[in-house]
Amino acid sequence: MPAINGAIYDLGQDYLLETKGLTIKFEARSSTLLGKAATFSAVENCNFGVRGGEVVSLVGESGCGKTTLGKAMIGLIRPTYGTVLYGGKGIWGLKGRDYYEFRRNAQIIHQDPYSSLHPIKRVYEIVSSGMRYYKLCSSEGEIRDKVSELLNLVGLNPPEYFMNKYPHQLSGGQRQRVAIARAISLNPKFVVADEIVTMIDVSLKIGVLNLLLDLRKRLGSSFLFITHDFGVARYFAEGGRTAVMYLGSMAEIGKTEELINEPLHPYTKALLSAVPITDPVLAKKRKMLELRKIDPPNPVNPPPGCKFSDRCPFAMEGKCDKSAPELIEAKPEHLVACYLYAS
Amino acid sequence: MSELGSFKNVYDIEGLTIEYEVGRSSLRAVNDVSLGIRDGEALGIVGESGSGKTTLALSLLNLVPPPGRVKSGKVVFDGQIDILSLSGEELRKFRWKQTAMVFQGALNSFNPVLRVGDQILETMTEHGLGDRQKGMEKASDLLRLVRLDPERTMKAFPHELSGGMKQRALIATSLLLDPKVLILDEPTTALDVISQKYILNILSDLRRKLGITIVLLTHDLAICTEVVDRIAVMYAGRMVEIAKTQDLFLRPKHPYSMGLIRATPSVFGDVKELKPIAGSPPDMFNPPQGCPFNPRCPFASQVCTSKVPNLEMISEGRLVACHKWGDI
Repeated sequence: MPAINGAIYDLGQDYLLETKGLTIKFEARSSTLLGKAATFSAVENCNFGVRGGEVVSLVGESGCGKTTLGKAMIGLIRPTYGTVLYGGKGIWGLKGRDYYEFRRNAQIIHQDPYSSLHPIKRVYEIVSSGMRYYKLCSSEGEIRDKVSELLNLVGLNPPEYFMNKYPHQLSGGQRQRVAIARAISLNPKFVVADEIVTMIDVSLKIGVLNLLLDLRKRLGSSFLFITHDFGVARYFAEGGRTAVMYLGSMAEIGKTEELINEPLHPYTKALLSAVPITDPVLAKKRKMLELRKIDPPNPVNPPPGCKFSDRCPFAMEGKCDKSAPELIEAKPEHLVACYLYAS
Repeated sequence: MSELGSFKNVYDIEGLTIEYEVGRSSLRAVNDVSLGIRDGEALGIVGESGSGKTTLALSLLNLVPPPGRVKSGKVVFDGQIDILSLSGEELRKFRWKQTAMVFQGALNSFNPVLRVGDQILETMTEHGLGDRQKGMEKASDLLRLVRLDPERTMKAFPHELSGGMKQRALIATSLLLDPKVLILDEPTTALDVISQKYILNILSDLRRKLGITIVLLTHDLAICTEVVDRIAVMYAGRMVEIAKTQDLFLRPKHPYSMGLIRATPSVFGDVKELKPIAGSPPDMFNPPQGCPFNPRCPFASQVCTSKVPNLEMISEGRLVACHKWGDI
């Protein structure tokens, strides 16, 4: 396989959905009245893929570009450079039937269930509209049965009771269940779950997470699970992979357990050393990885070279601040973008 | 009921009940809460949104906003000052000087068109610390304590600081008048994990260096492990368990505390299957009869649906409000 955009490692053959050299630039509000608007890269030169039936957690701080990457992968944002491939074909070149199939197969559950559901439509209409558009059912009776089944599946019982509710009559957890029912109503092959438990009460979070885990096993779909919480990432992607992003770039990708127990990238190490834990004995013993700078830089103005170089305690002068490291395969299936591991 | 009295309390809250009147109905945000806050300790008050923790904290400053009303109970500061009877100038002098609070969503507390330094200075003049030179020195020391560069921070406008920096600048500002007690309401909620960790470390530093009492309000039990000595768990306006941090995590006695701990995914150790707490949070306009947790509680029996359990002391410094704690 040829190197892609200078990437050294082989992207592999079996990705269901993959990005190649994906860069997405946004305009930042201009700081001077007449000056040209500054742009910044929400996602930069990102090579990343998810295999059929695989679950990948994507971890990073708010503003690191994880939602943008997720949306770009299902074609909700057009890349500035690079491509997104679905079954090996660029999604922006898909036509007719292929495009239609891609759209049906790539679904998203948004972060905020208070704004992702149409406020003046009933649950029945919200969950059934996709099936109606894609003509998955032959009669209204069949649609009704399917909606019933879906609501049952996401734990909204009895379905007849919830069907006629408006979103404002439901709690956050119940709304998120409706959004999940809508996303899986089309039997998608790929689902982006974007911070789906962030807005939900602590005591209800795990219920929604367990539901999605159960559905994943049942449906066999691929999941990209986006979260800022390492604990939740691990819980969801146990046995799968976890990817860590920092300021628009992929820092590290590996099997979830290996990435947590033997992190390679200094940023991953710092994150893991700062994650709050509920074991008071372990918490007292733990040592935090001290950074050179506490606060992240302004994303419009990241440091040159590796974007973590200004905070990284291991940064090598003249190297890390000169050019950005490529993602390399440091161990089998364990990729890292850091000069500490470059041979 | 209060705790064993070998500690000096900086706050004594007794039988406090606070209601919000909305239309014709009323909502009891804080329901018969008694709690002692010890001098020099770090206390975590944990509860979900709507559990009443913010209202309780506001009462420590006599700051409960209308339509909220204190129905009964007392809040006593330092064994002598009845906070809820203070008003006017007395109250103004008490706030910030004795107890300071960093509010939730405090990232927006700074005036966006004034430099941070000017806002700090304004606070000092307003509270009668006239000497500009001394004031600036003090502010610089405090900013250094929260790991900010004093010169750069004072000159900056709020939008030039990141979320974590703003939060730390606010903590420094709240310490300007050397308060005895610092209350922080969800200080790390909007922040990333690394900024959060630094703020928690800074809180520990403040205690060590200034001997200040810290009250940390949060919905996230996990952030309490490293900073806090004791945890008070609130549910539906009531105090359901008070325990030392370690005891609460290792041997929770109230089914709700236990549920919260079991519902928190951990990064390290074995992946355990997590169990959600059944049901949903109570409708505060229409709370359940008896123990407010009974509809969601796996241990609930007849008595739980009819009688509200008292907050009982079950061992030294450990209080639980549950009819069934002996079975757990």
